[in-house]
Amino acid sequence: MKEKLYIIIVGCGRLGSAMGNHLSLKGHSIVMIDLKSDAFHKLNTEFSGFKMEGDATEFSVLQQAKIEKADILMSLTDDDNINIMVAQIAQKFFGIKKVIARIVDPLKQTIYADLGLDTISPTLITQDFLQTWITKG
Amino acid sequence: MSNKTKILIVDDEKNILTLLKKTLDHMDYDVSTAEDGNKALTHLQKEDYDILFLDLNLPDITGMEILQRLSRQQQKPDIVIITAFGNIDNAVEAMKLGAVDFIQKPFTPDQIRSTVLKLIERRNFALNDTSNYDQSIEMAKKLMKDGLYKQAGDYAQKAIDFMPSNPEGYNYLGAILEIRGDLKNAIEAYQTACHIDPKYEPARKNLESITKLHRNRDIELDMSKLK
Repeated sequence: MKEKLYIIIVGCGRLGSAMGNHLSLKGHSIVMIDLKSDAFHKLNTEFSGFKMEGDATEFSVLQQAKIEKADILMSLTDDDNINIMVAQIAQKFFGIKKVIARIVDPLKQTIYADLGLDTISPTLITQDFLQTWITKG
Repeated sequence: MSNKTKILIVDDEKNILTLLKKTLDHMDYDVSTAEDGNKALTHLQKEDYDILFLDLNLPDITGMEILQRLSRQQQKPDIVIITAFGNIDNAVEAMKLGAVDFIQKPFTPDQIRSTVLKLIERRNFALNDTSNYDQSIEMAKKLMKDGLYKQAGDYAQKAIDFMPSNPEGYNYLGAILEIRGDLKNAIEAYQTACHIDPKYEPARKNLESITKLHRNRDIELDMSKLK
């Protein structure tokens, strides 16, 4: 893998902004996309990527973010449907190899796995953690 | 006194200033930043910069206004415009006011590095100045290939000064002016080339097509003479 990656993060909420801050500090090129510019206030002062206000389900917005150059796209908004749509566009239409969508509803996760998309479910991760924690006694 | 390349970055977005500064600091340049137009002008009055990265959307004085002020100066930095996502319309306007290049958001450190290196190379090239017609026309061709039309025009003019009887220089100047959208002077340059040598094909063809309504064509440059 390349040392410095071009990463697009859709959704600048708590998770998106934390990833953006972390990856920017590591020296990667980051483009954050969010519907509202207010969301970018969560990025810290050391953040040296780009902030784009726009709807990432629109092709033109992804094109303006230069998606064709992206090594990774992470769709981390709080809306499962948007995440899955953006991830599908990135993977199927723009051919981005490494794409991940955040899925809050675990029931939907198997469907998306069938579509060949990588997903991450905070609900399942928390559930796993709690189950392990209970059995620890 | 330090002879490091002096670069000024003007942008109201802190993250862009940080990205550019971080990238250029690593390359060992003397980098200053300004987050609005007034601070930029203060910097520009105090120091002679080699390169200026300029955002056009500033909160106080617009980048375009700064460009206009700089265009009146004899000695000015090479200006690179920072353009908004998916928008190069303003950049084209800015190039007409003397900006030499533009970078479109979002850009990567690699893009910044190669832009700066290209400008420094061209500056060094200009230091070894041309002393005859062939060198000047060669320089004009190289600069044209790099898309640096304003500078290419200066060298085409220099070539003409060395050899006013050669139609090729006027044809080049015409082509550069045409690309830059200065059709009136482009026609004049082509006409002069044709006047010097009515049999000089490239200029005749250029003149013919520039005066037609549909100018969908390649500009004749007589590239066979390229070294």
